[in-house]
Formats: sequence, structure tokens, C-alpha cells
Amino acid sequence: MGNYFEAINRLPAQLHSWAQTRWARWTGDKEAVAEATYWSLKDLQGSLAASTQPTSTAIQQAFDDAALTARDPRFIGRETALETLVLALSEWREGRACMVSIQGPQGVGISSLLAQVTTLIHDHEVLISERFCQRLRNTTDVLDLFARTLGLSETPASVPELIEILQQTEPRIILLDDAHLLAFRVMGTRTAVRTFGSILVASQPRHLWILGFRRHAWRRLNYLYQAERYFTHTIELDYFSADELKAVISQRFEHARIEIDWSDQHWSRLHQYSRGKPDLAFHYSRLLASENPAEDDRPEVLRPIDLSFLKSLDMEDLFSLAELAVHGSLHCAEHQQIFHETPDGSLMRLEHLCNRGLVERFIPICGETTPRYRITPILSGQIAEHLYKVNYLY
Amino acid sequence: MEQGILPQLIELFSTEHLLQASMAILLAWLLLHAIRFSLDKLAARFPRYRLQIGQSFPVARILVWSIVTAYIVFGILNPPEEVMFAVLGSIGLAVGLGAQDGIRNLLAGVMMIFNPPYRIGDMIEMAGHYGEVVRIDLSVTWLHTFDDSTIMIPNAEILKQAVVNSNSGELAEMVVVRIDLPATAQVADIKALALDAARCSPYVYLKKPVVVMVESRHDYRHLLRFSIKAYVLDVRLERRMASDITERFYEALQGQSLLTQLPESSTQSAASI
Repeated sequence: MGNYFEAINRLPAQLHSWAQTRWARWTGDKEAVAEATYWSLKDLQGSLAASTQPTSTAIQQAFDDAALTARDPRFIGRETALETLVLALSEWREGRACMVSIQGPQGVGISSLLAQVTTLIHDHEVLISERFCQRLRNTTDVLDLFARTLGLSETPASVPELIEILQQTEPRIILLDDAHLLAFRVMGTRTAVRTFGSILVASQPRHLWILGFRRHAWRRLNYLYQAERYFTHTIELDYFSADELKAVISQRFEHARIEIDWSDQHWSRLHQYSRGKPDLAFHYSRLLASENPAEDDRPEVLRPIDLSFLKSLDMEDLFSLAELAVHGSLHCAEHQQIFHETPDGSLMRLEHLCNRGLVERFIPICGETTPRYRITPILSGQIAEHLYKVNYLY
Repeated sequence: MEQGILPQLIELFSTEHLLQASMAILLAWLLLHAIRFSLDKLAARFPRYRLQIGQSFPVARILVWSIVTAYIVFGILNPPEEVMFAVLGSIGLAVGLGAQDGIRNLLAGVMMIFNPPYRIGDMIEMAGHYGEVVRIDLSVTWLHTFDDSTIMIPNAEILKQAVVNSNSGELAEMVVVRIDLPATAQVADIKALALDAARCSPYVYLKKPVVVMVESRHDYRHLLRFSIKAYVLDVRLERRMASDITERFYEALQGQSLLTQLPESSTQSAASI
């Protein structure tokens, strides 16, 4: 009851602050807005850069964005997904053909969930964990991927030969992460995806395939190939609910032996502004944990990010962002192929988005040397939401 | 009786009544502008729902003007029955004789609001014009064409003629890209290329199917017509998508050396809805 009275008492102040912000946004006083109630992208990126400094190793380790390994105690809140995996494994052990897809938005913990499969298998079972490193453009790429996954010394010469090898290999549980790389909107790649799918389906009675996709790529694969109909189990991960997020963050602090005493309002605002997206919530938590209580004059950490400038992006920018959201990341050359752009045009477009802070350049872990571009991870949820709202994502 | 009506009319249209009526009209006009401004803002914020948002304005306008008219007549002027019937009769006669076309268009506009053959944002073709409906007034409809021209069509004309509505209230719309090739073309390969070209265009709405139809036709010689049917993400991107698919298709034909096998000047293409 006390909470209700408290909420009612806060209402006039909140209304006043809301009206003030709206007025400032309306009149274009962005700096005032960002300073008072919103994170400007520039400040947020500054805080991100600062958070990578080794100010507190414990905090850094607690909120490391990397995928969690098997049996990591910080992996919690995915009980339903684990149950589905257990069910798929037991059905496969009974001899039923099974294939599992795990899909969810970027940063939701697909790789962490895949890593937990190790904890679910029996001692005698063989598990292979592999990830897509490149897009499949032709049959040779597909054969190379399977040769690498199965640890073959030589790449099979043809698809039937590969299928024969797969039929003769002892049953395995094969995890394939980053399967969103299958969604590539360039002419000529359709055959490669169909070949990849046909090999999975042909070997499905013997091996258990578990693939991790990002949501928008999964949707596109469904529109183009009706991918869903070939998977017996589909696990859909989503951002954390308020309770789940509280449990996840508390567990991370506990694991790092850091004591926190946040009010309910804090937790609720953390969920509200991060929308339950783990990497964004971790960033807020890092900032909150590193905050010096003596510095009272600093603006509050828990405030939403000002992405109102997304409305000013032109159509080509929005299409580029939409394709980045679906493809996960793009080389400049891939962008050029998708949009029929000149090399300079693609570079300028992607660099422009980089300068706006919406996209970031990175070197992939698979040994590539050419930089790729991806949507700034902590903003991916809000950008995807905007793209959906303006009808560039569906 | 007629002698009594004139003083009553003069009394009804007193300065005070006229001022009150003007104020009511001014307020209604301001309210409608505010509604239009808000709806435009809302449509810009939620482009996915812009067609649904746009179609609410004509209804709101009719409602506002009906309420204001009723308020002026019954709330401000409040004329005796005999005066009202006499005035209505006179107006009816004058309007019937002098402004037949205007009234016809107005009535057509009212009918269209309650039983619309199209909505704001639809792509329609009528009277040889093709464009997006940007405004539906009580007497006319405004189209915006791809050549950036604005065309005004009287509503009565629209009700008299056949109207082709390409998207019927949806953002996605089917676009047909027709490409004619000689009858000697390799159908299976070219059909696969056409499908691929359409699916790879960023403007294609992949939630709906993409199909390629092949038909035989004769234009001085035997030809094969490949009709690529795909849905565009947003009706406004219709031409852009058609051009993009054609470009990709021709490049692929050249890339696979299929075009060079065809006699020169043997291909032609056209896009239509």
C-alpha cells in the first residue's frame, strides 16, 4: 500500500519532468535534454570507453559481455530453454530425428545457452561445437564448413559424398553458432543455403543439430526458405523480464563478491531503460557500481538513451541499418553488393553511420583482417524497434 | 407569411449571432488543423500505420463540421420551424439550379467517406492518372504522381469511373516487372535468375511470395514474357523496386553470359502494378 502512496506522491514531479523534457525536445534543446534526463550517444560512448579501463577488475569481470561457458554459475533465467534442450536430447536418444533452432535478438545469450548443452549430454556422447565464420556463397563453402566441423582432413568432393561420410560417422551432437550468417541477400547464394539445409535434413536421423540464429536472420530464413518446418524444436529467447533481470544482475554481483543495496525503484528503472537487454543492463550496472556516491552533482546513471535523432536518418541509412540488423554484420563489399552501391558509396554510408554512433567497426574473431560493421551492440534493441516502427524491418 | 419571415431572418442574423457563428466556425477550423497536424505527426512517427492514421481525418472532418453546423443552427440561430423550412427550400432551389456540379461532387465526397473506394495513402489509377492519394476533400481527391505532380480529380468523376486500387489500405503492394526475351531464351535458368533478382532487392517485402510467370507472346516475332511478381515494402518505393529488380536481373543475365547469347535489341522491359 505504501508503494502506491509513494508512486502517487511522485506523480506530479514525474509529470513536471516529463513535460519539461518534452518541451526541451520540441524546442530542439538536445543538450539540455541529454544532460538532464537522457544519455546522449556521445556521453554513453564515452562512458563505454571509460568502462573498459581497468578501474575495478571485479566489476569488469562481473559484467563481462562475453558468452558464458558451461556450468558458469552466472548462467540463470533460461530454465524453459534448457527444458526444451533436454527434451530434444531425450527424443534424439530414443532414435527420433531431431533438429533444434535457438533464436533471439542480438546479445540475448544464444551462445551462452549453446555452451550449456555440454552439461546436458551423457559421458559417452560426442559433442562438436562450431561457429559460422563466413557466409556461404557456393557449394564449396558449404563443404568446407562441414569438413571443418567434422574435423575431416580433406574436404569431400561432392554433397552426396559428404552425406555418406555423415551417415557413417558415429552419432554426434553438433552445435553451430552464428547461423545468422546464412541469411545473405545477394544473388547466387540461395543454392548454398539450400545445399546446407539439405545436408542437415539428410543427416538429421543420425546427428542432432543445434543451431543458433539471431532473430531477424531467422525470420528472413523463414520467409525465404520456410526454415522453421525443418526444425523439430524451436527455442525462442527474449530479453529478461524484470524479475529475471534482477536475479541475473544480483547473481553477477554476488559472484564478484560485491554487495549492492538497490531500491525497488532502481531495479524497475534498470529494467525499464535496458528493456531487459542483458548487455545494456550490464552497462548500466557497471556504471552504477563504479559511481562515487560523494559526487552528488553528476547526472543520474539510470536514464534512457536519446535516440530521437534516428528520425532524421534518410531512407538509405535506414535500409542499411535494417540489413545490418538482419545480417548481423557486413563488410563494405557485402553492403555494396546488397545495395548495388559503388565501393565509395558503401564506405561513406557505413562510416556515416559509424560517426553517428549507431554502427561500429570491428575485426571478427575468425581470422579475417577486413573490418566488418555492425550495429552498436547495446543499441541494437532500440534500433531494431525503431526500424520496425518505421517499416524497414518486419 | 413571406412578409413575416424577412424580419425574423434579419433578427436571426444579428451581429451577436453572426459573431458567435464565426467564432464557432473559427474554432472548428482551428480544431481541424490541430487534428490534421497531430495525425501528420503521428503518421510520421509510426509510418507502418500511416494509412490507418490518414483515413481517420476525412471522418473527423465530417464529424466536426456536422457538429458545428448543428450547433450554429440549433444552438446559436435557433430559427422557428417555418423560417428554417423556407430557408432550406430556397437554398435547395438555388443550389440545385446554380451549383449542380459542386453539390454532386460534395455528395460524392460524403458517400466516399462512408463507403471508401480508396483511402489516403492508397495508390490508385483512374482517368489515366496513377498516383498516391494524398488528400480526400469533400468535393475533390488529390493524387500525387511519381513525376511529382499533384492531380485534382472531382469526386463525382471518381464514382462514375472504374478505379484501380493497388494496395487497398496496405503498405505492401504487388509490383509486376515484365521483361520480354526472345522465344529461344533458356526458360529455367532465366526464371531462376529473375526469382533471385527479386528476392535480393532490399525493397522487396519477403513476407509475401515472389513468383515469376512465363508466357508466350508475339510482337513482330515470338517472344517470351517473364513477369516478376513481388510485393514492395512500401507503396512509395514501387518504382525504385521495379528499377532495382530490372537492374539486378540484367546484370545477372550479363554476368552469366545469357544476354550475349540473345540477338541485339531483343529485350524490352516494363514495370507495372
